[in-house]
Amino acid sequence: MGKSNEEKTGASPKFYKGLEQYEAPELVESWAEDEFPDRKSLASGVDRRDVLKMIGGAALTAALTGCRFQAPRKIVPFVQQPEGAIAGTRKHYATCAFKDGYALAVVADQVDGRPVRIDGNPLHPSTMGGLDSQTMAEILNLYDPDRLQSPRHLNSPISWIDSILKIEEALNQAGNGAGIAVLSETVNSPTLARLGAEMKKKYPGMRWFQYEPAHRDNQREGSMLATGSDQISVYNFGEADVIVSIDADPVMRGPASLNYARQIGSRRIPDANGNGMSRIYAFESHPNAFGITADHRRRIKPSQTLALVQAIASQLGFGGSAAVPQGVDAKAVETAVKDLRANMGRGVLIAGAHLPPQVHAAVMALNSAMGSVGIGKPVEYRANPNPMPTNHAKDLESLVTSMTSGQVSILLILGGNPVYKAPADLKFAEALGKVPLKVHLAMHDDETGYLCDYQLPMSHFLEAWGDGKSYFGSTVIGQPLVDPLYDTKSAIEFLAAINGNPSDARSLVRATYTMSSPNGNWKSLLAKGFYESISQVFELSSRTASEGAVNVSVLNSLAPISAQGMELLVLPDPTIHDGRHSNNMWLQETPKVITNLTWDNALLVSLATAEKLGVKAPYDKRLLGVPYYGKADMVTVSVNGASLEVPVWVNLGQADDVLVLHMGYGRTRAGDFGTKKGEKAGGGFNANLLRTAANPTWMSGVEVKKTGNEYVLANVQHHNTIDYKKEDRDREILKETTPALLAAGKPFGEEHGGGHGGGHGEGHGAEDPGFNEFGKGKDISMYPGLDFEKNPEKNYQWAMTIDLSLCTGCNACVTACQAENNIPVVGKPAVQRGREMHWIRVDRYYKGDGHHLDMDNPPIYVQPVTCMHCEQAPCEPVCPVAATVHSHEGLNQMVYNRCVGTRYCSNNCPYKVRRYNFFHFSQRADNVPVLKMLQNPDVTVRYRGVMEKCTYCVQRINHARVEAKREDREIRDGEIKTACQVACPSGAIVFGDMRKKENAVAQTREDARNYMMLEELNTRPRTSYLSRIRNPHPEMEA
Amino acid sequence: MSGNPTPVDKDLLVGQHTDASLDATIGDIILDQSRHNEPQVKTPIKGLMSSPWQIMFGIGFLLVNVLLLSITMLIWNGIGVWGNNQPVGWGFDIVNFVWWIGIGHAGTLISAVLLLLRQRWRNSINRMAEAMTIFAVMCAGLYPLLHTGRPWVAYWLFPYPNWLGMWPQFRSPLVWDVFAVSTYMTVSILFWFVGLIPDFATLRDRAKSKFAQFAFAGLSMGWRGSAKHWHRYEHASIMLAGISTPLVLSVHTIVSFDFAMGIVPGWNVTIFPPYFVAGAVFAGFAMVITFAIPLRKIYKLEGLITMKHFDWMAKVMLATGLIVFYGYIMEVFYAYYSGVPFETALLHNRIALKDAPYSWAFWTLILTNGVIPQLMWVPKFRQNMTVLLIVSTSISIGMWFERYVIIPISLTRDYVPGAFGFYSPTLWDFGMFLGTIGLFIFLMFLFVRFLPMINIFEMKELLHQKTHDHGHDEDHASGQPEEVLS
Repeated sequence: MGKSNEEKTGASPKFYKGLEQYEAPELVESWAEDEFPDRKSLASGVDRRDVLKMIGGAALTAALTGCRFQAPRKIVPFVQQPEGAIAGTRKHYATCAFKDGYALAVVADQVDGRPVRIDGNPLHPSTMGGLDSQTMAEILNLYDPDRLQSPRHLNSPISWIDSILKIEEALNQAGNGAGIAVLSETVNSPTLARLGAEMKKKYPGMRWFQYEPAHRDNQREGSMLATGSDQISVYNFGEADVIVSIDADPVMRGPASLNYARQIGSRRIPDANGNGMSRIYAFESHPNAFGITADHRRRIKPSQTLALVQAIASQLGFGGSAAVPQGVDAKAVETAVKDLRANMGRGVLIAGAHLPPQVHAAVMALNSAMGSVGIGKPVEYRANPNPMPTNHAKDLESLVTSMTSGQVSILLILGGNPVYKAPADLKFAEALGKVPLKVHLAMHDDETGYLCDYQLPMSHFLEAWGDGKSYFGSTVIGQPLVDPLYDTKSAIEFLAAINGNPSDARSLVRATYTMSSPNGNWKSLLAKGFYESISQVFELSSRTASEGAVNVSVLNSLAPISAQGMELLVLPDPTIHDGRHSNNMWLQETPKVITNLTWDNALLVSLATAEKLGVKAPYDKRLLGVPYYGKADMVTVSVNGASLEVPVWVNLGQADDVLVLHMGYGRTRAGDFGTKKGEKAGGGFNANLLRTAANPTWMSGVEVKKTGNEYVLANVQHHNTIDYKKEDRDREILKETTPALLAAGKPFGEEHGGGHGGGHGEGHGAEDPGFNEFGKGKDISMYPGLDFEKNPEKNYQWAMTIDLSLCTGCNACVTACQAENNIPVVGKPAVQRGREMHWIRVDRYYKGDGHHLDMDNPPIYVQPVTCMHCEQAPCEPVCPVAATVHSHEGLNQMVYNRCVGTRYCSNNCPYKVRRYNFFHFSQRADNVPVLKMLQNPDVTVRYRGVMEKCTYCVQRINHARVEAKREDREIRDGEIKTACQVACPSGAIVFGDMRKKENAVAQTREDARNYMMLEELNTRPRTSYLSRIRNPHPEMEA
Repeated sequence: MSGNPTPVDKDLLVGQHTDASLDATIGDIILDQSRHNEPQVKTPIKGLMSSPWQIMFGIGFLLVNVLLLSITMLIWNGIGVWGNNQPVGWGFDIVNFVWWIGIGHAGTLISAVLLLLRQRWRNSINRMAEAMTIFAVMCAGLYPLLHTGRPWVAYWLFPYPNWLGMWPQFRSPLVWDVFAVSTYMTVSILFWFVGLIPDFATLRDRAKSKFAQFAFAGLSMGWRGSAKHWHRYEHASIMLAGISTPLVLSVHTIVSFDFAMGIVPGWNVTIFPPYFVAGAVFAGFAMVITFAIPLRKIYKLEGLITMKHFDWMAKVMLATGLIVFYGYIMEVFYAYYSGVPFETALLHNRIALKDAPYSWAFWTLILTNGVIPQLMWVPKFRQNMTVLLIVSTSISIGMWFERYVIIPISLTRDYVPGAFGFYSPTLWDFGMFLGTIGLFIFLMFLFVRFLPMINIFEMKELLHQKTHDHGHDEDHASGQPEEVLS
């Protein structure tokens, strides 16, 4: 500036910088004085609003760049909004999940670039629209804050490139690959199998092993015995008139359970004449979801199952002279045989996966002998669709042998956690120590990763391209919904990378299918989620069926199962499975079917066995005379030289001298929720310590000794019985009938057939004043009608029915609701206090005759209970601040903002379905950034001190309302499905507008079996139940 | 006032008293502060000597700190620090609320109802009973406030103008509670303060220290004892008594509506209003006796709070206790007679020794509230301080268990067996409970030290009537003795 002044005052310059200096020197001068020449033009136009806009823009940019869930290359502001991308709306993508080694076709929801929900794919037989708890909870696994986030080498960070280069180098040094071993879980992906085969070409000596605890070795070996090859049994329960379960749980366990649940359900409601209902006989070692829906449930030890199948065969006249094993109800067997004989070719047996191979062979042979196998028959035998079927136990054993003898120089562990999951006697960890280079690709820093050289983070299936074979034979394609949240790779990508083929996973998967001609174009294939056409996937069930060459004579030549003393079953946990979901807080808190335990496993025993062991049932435990529910005695379980101290839980209906312990607990390195923390926080006991390579699931000769220690277990249902004491029996909470009684106009059984409550025996509905069908019936109240009654035709009237005949108690609805409604997890101590937050719960009851309860084998019932949305809700008038109010559409609404938290509404709710935030339970979701992405944006996250409850998924109703208004129409029937309804594998829940008689829910409400829980309170619930139908053989009691 | 006043029972004032001696006996407890430091007695702590006042005040102070800690824990962490759960939404919080409200009933009954009924035996105990009422209601009031999950918005229960245009939901008994309890509190404080004014004037006149003179002068609000003052005082008393009397019935009636209006078996009971009111009077008198016995002993007030008083109070206890016991019998009867399975099951769940997990609470209640008070039939026991103390303490415990049996235990098992649960209080539940007991003791002993615990002028009036009880009662019918001024 000084210089310019000098120039001004000094002599005239002779050299001009430009014409403007000569023509308008003042202007140039002003430029020189101005440090930021352009500012003036800018400043003149900037006002307060612009500044705010700029701040806003800057903040938005900062916010956008702060989001990690979208890959950098995609972070482009929507200058031109992509077609179909509307902020806040949901997109649904078909993809592929896995269950017990087979693919499930699922649909995942994405909102603003983040996946928030997984549902079944209704177009595919593997799920038929329903989904189980574990697969739904996979969405939480994606956002698990404890996931392994970047590659590590010997506990220090390393880049992917470096690790891949080093692993590649090591592989190359292995020559023909004799020292290379790969250990994966079940190989289900054709692409992974193809890449494996390519790798094998490069390293011919390389070996590939598979291991996961929930394997199908027994079925495989059974099939080998019966047919000489590995065939899978695909059941068409829709075709089965008689089902005999040999300790099987087809509705909850195994890769086909979702399909089976729906098919079995399709035969559980008789026609008007009382015909068409299947009859289920369950011979079980412990009660499970299938057994409790059975018409006859009898107890049996696992070791007796072979003899039972042989006895049935001999009574049916298929040779042999096996007697019904001792302790098994011979009458029941005889009746089952009678039914099977009467329905030859329409009856079928199914055996539990944990039973020894002989049982499976016998069942296959017997089914074949009965003529039940084949197209259109109850069961088909087909080739295993998995690309690399193998015997897992033998695989693992031979791998350990090789490792111990130093033959393995490089071990690539692709997923799985063998150090924890392998049977203890294999001493996998010890063997692993002898391998020079150990690579672990996994989602967590777990027990195995801790012992490996490379810990490589694996992508979740929602982050990576993948594919898999479903149990029903078709190929499911998995497309990612989000770029990896962390620096992760899928097994496919990793395997390709170390083979010098670092192409992206999409082209790798696609390449698998360009080899054979693709069915339709790739885009439409992705849209529906599987390779075959929609009609094909259902046809597949018949098309590829091969009866196989079953050797019926094998029935009577099988090696008998010998057992002595107590028998122990080690099974995958009903919620956290083999431990893969240990760190999934939703599943940890989902009550385990029938026992209703959470956060721990326990040794399940029958009452007689508990008494024999000198162990008290938890409901008998007292502290200073007051019941201390959940306190359990501990015992030491010893078998094959191993022993473990575990708490005992009495499980009524279990066979005597049979112990059941679930896997997946007792983890030492599994993240915040999975790691064993002892009595206070749960985490359970490691059942794998008792497993041996020879007997991984079933063991006999088990010694049990009471130790005198105690352990507190958290159980969501404190009281055990209904229908036991007289007072309880008179509570008409659960009603049931039989097909014959139903046809005779007694939809609630003999006892309550005609007279009760104004006679809802026949054609109740409209005539029955007690029922208060909407807008009908005598007004039995002295008060004026409710607001929503005044204009009934104007508004939608939402209602729900739950069919107790279809419910199996699998708890899928609980997890579905938890995922949909941002329901927090409370932890073990809070569950112990009875503070779990689930908006829908599944009550479990044992049935007695009013004076006596058969403590050995009581009939077990389940009943899902959620907010009834009573038309005259007792919760509403007692709220002092009007925080719970009724909508004109019949919803009982909770206004969280208005709630002061007096809990009066909960006290006054006869169904006790309201849930209270005793602490800031949603804190974790608030504080952990990655968990924020999990939250459903359509549902408020509730704060401490506020009451909450089921809303009938009001966000879904409102979404449909917006859609309908946009199109100027009414909401269609079936357009809204609540989260629990979608998830229910057997389709027990129906929801909709009950005004129109043609709507599904109006139809079910008109059903003779429809009843309201606690109808006598005149709360007029909108959620009603359809009574349960049991179909006992006329000659036998239930 | 018209008609003959009740003849004065000579036993209501024992010993040779003059107006001056009454002033001294009652007033000196306040004016001579050193009286609270004696007698020095041994305490359980070795080497520490302390006066009964110091011991009790110390206990109260300690427990007030427990209360503050409990409240802090509660507000910091949430209701979860208590034992409440699903299905038991109300536990110690509401039990203690109802218990304290019940204890707060004797004061109004004694001052208002007995005033209207001209029961002169009320005179020496009414001041203390009123103070207890106020302190008990203060303790009680803490619970509804703090039992809300978000106490910082508890003011939403009051009808106040706001931009939301939201009123409380007037159908809710909790809103009725707010009105009932706050009205009761206001009227009780007014009544108490109005009654204190003449005594403040006496203390002002007798006070030696400047501070006390100024303080009592302020509190006496310019009282000079003129006939006009007495006239207005009388009118105010009668009016306040008239306002208070229905409150005695309404407060606990409305508190009982919290339950009676509910749908829970064991709550939904039409007998609750009278049964709760009787229970409240029962509990209130028990608490007055519990406090009167030691105070009388420490401050040598045997002449003012006489055996006659205890005898009367014991009789009231017995009568109300019988009403309450009748309530228990009725509960059992209609549970059985109704034939409603839920009620039958509730009864079973309350009383069965084997299956019912909380039957011990019910039987404790029957023992402490039903059986032990029957000792009061015996005149000898009504005069025996030890027995009285045992019985009144037993009733306080019993009344607490009554609410415990009704509130959480009914909730543990109501309609759907699948939702049945258990209830067990936590350390902080006990912390809150002991804390409010501490607050009560703390306030009571402050009261004893700084305010006249016995109504001075009414005692003088009594003395006057006693000494002039020979036919010219008529002259003093309006009851303001001229010679009261000292």
